[in-house]
Amino acid sequence: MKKPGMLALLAALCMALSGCQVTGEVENQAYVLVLALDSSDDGALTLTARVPQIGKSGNKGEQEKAGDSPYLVFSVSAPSWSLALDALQWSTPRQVNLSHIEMIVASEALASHASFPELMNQIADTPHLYTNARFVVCAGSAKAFLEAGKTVIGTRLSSEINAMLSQYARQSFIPDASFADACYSANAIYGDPIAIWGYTADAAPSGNDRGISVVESPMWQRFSGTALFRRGVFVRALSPEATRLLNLIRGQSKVLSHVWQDASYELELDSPPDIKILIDGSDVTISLRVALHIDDSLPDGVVNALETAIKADIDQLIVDCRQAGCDPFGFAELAAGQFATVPQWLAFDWPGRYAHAAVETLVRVSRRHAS
Amino acid sequence: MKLRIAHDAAAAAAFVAAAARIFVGLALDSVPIHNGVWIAALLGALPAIPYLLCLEAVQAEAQPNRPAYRMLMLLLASVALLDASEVLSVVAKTSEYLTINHVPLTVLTVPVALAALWCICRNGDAVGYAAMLWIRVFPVLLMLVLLLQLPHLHVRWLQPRLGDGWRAIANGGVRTAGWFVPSTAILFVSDRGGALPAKHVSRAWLACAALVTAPLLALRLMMAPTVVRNASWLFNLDALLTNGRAPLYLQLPMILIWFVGLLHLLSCDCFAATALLQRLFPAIDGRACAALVVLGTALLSIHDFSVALNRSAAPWVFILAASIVGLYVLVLRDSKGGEHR
Repeated sequence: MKKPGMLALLAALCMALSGCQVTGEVENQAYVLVLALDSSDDGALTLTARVPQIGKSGNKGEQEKAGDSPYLVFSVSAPSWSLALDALQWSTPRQVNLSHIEMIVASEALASHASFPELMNQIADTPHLYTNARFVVCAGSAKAFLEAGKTVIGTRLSSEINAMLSQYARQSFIPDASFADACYSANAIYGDPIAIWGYTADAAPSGNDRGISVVESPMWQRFSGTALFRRGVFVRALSPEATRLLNLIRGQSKVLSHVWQDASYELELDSPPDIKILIDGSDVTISLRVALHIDDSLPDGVVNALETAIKADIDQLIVDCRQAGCDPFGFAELAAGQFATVPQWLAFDWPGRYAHAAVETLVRVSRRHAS
Repeated sequence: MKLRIAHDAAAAAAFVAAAARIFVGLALDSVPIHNGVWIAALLGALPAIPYLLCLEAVQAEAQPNRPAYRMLMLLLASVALLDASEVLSVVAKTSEYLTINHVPLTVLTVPVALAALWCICRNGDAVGYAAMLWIRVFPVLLMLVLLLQLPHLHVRWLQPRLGDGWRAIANGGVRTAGWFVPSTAILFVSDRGGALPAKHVSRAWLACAALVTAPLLALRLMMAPTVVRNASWLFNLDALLTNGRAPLYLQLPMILIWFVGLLHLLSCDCFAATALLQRLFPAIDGRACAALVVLGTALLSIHDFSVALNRSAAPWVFILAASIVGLYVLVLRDSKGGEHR
């Protein structure tokens, strides 16, 4: 009887090891759901955090109409990431908790800066920061983008952003991109990272709402398209149509909604895209074969025209990405497999070879036969 | 209290400890081997097996009063103690990484050290048979990890298959051999019971440790792509435990594997160091030895210097231990030959 008693006592003593420190109670935490990053002209980093007010989860729509937002916004500026985090801790009346971040937004200006890859690494190395958050690059100010966010549908603050972005990703308007993935890709020996492209309705870049007419929506934020990076630095945005093709090539989508002559057609992949990288000395050939099927009621002319249009669009997408110096397709991953060691692969200079590689695209569209 | 462990229990404990140690070392080490890391794990077993063969020969002719024998015991005890301190530091830092609040490292170290002390006081068979239980539970958790993370794994990230090349792999192999040394200390203090086949069991277990670790490391490589920057310890730990980007609910089985593996490794290292200390100073009670070893481990673990020393000393540990054991075997053989003449 003595031993179990001693064990119980020891176990109980372990619970007292935290001493007189403040315990991590929910009431004492400021859970950041969205973190926005901006750069100012003097090189300072502006950090804006969106924090939900605990206990105000219900009837968000009505609360916002009454001007009583369920969120608080804190914004600080400092010369570096660590100082900005310190300042955020200081300006927030509760302990800033980064373990439940749903979305990290970087402004276009900040993401285009040469120092952005290093900032990404600093964020990734921050203890207790949840790096699986969605990663968005936005046109204009990230703070303004964050402030434009409204809770529209749903009752739980924590699931609002995730549900919205999952929906857009399922529809293939945006890539399924997380901050962690982008950070890994920026440091990895393979291709380039990508992010979700966002903008506010009043700052819509020309051509990005091509074919889509938003008549009226309480949503002021837009998530539509892909932000392309070259070695961790943002270079340009892709349209939602190009994003759909990109998702198809990357194997993230099995369905392609293609707009041709003012009509939308839904095609399905027969099998994952067949990508081969042929390396002959310094010559590189990228071979891409995509087999799709479509409703069997369509006439031959439309099927053939779709085949030609999709091939032209894929070719244009690859040209655009190569001009920007980005490989978001995963071609580099396939090419790296043909090398025995990492130094050999790095010495091959994939970005240089990729820019001048021959590309052979073959798109086949067949009719779906009813069984 | 006399500290003892049966040979089969020691073999199981050594297997779990060796597998966990190689995995911790190669998965978190900042020295770049990249994709060749799983080959390094296999390569490291090659010199470790003959070393164990020699160690068993020395153990069979136990001569505790010979200075060379006592020196070997002291070396193994020191290696096990230093290794335990690094493991305890890894456990505490992992806990710090997972806690919501900022907690001082010492606060996180104390309960784990107390747990290790309790394990040693239950004597060797508790340590060994707990490892046997873990060997049965571990594959189930691993299957769970595989099932949950399958959509996130990328086979292409295993390439280029040789990582930084053969030179880096060979370097990793020697370090791996060094990580085998503390695991073999528990075999050295085990009761062989005169059963000859038991010798082969321990060698088979150590070979299995390398064979188990290699696919685990390959799994780690498929979770997150190889990065070329000098990744921080935290970056590597995050990539390992959370797959870098896995949803929170997917982390639990991996974290269980990580923590339980580390606790087995810690108890194995501490028990070996304690048992060796008691054999060096038989007058001291086992519990007092355990308290001394755990206290030493805890004190060393909170100093970055000792942890860094253990990390960088791994190849030299193997060379030193193998040289002493090899020379001892040669001396033993010569003296036996002399007796025959």
